[in-house]
Amino acid sequence: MAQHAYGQYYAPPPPPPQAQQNLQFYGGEQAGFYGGSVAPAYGNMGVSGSIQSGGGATGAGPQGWLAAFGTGGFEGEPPLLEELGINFPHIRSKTMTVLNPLRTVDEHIMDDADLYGPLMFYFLLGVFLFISGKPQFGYIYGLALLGSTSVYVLLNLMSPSGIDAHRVASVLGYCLLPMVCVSAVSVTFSLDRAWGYFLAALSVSWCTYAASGIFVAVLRMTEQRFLVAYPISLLYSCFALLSIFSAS
Amino acid sequence: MDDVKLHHPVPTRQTYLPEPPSTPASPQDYMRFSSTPSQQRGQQQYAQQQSPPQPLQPQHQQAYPVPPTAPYGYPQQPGQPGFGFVAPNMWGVNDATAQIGMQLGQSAVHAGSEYVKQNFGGAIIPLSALKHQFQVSNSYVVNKLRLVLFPWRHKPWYRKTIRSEGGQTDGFLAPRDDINSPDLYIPSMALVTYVLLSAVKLGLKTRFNPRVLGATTSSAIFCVFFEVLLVRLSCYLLNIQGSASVVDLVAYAGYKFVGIIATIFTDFLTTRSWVYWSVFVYVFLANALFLVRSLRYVALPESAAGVAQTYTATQRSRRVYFLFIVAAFQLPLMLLLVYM
Repeated sequence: MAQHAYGQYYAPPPPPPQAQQNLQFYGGEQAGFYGGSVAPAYGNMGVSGSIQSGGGATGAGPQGWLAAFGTGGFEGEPPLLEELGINFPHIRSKTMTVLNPLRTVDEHIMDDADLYGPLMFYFLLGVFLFISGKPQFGYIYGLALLGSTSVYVLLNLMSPSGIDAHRVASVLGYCLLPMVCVSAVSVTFSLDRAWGYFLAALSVSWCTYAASGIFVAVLRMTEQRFLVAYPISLLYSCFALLSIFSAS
Repeated sequence: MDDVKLHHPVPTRQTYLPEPPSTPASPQDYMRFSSTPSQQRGQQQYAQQQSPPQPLQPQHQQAYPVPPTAPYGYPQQPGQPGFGFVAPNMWGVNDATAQIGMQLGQSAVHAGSEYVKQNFGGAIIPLSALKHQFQVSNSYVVNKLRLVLFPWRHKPWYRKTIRSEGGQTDGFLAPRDDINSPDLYIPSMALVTYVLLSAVKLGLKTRFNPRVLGATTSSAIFCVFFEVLLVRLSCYLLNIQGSASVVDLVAYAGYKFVGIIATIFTDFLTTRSWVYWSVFVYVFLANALFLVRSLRYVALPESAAGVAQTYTATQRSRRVYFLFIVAAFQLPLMLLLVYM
């Protein structure tokens, strides 16, 4: 993900300028982030020698190790969240936009496919289910991975133009929020009764409506909305199953 | 540099002879692919001359012994290792042998990828065939579901083919244009729905465990795989030419899940077992008829006008038996799936 975040910083982002809201991470200004001097140094992450080279590039010289392990940091170093590409206000605004069922879907709404929001939602779902007595973290992650892969394969087979896997995973994760709310309800009340089924069905349809709307807009498959929505509803129903029925 | 004085074998291809760099700027300058001995020896001289430092170069060029290939050893100007034949460019592949080597490598890689693509790319996951199976439309899905559950009144069962200008058949039409074409969208969706419904059924009996999702999926996929294996084996044993592709057979095997879903639904709606079993029997019969009618064009290929039948009468009767056995075999499979 960090590589993708750097693509945001150092190159113009792919979405066109007529996006209704500026939903790009950290907006459109790239060059002035922390000066151009530090830019090449942080281009590669996780390489052992990069700390030294980073120190050298900024002109800090042999103080590289000290700066890395101390609290001073390098000159012009961005804050950690910004460097990692985690932007909480952006995640919140994107979630609100995605889940509003009355909006018109803009096809560029998910052009910056960040995975931090979805990851947070899956983890939150796992935590709520754990509190309600169903420790199923592994199943949630496995289902998320398998479901994203299957929807990615299916959408690429069904649509004339393709879609990339990051965007699929991002859309599916953001649209999971109603399911997270239902699992929050399941903490206090058991959902294994009639109104629980109804609530779960309602949240599944809300998730599916949001996700299929985005996919149909991105892939321009307007007459096949139901065909796209059905597999996504199956995926969210699996999550609903995990939320409703506790393992015996 | 004067080429006329050099007595070296004329290279078979025209190569560009640039000014060689005074120091080796690329590792390719030290890499020599084996070629004619004269070139090789000359290259060795050249390589050896590069290792001593730059200022000593003119003396070293003159100090080397003069083999029969000596004419190229004579420098024309100091500071230049004056080899008149192919010399490498800066980072380029202008060396003839290097070019030959590169092209050999490229063709080898190309041949390898072609081999993999032909033998394994088409066999394991035939992507183009898969894409063809997923070109469905809303109306196709609705009509096909109706056809699977009520196949009694449907008239033409043959698949439409794409006709090119010469009248040749170019493959079958996509599912969205031909109701009789099998697709993979409905079977795969039906399989996943079946897994979910059986999980819901277990959950209503408070016997749900997330593990059961994976177990049911695996057993359903195994049922499909087993049936496809049997049908292919029978086609081979009966010597049916041009039998349906594996993708089509998987599609035909997956249509039974639609009926099984209907059966499980009635299980939710009623508690009386005779309703449940009558729905099951009806679904089985409908699926059997659907399969017999659809596979008829696979097992008994229609002979075009003027072309002799490719099978004899006994073969024909055997193939008809085969069709009915396939239809009857659905029953134990469906029982198995319903009981899981």
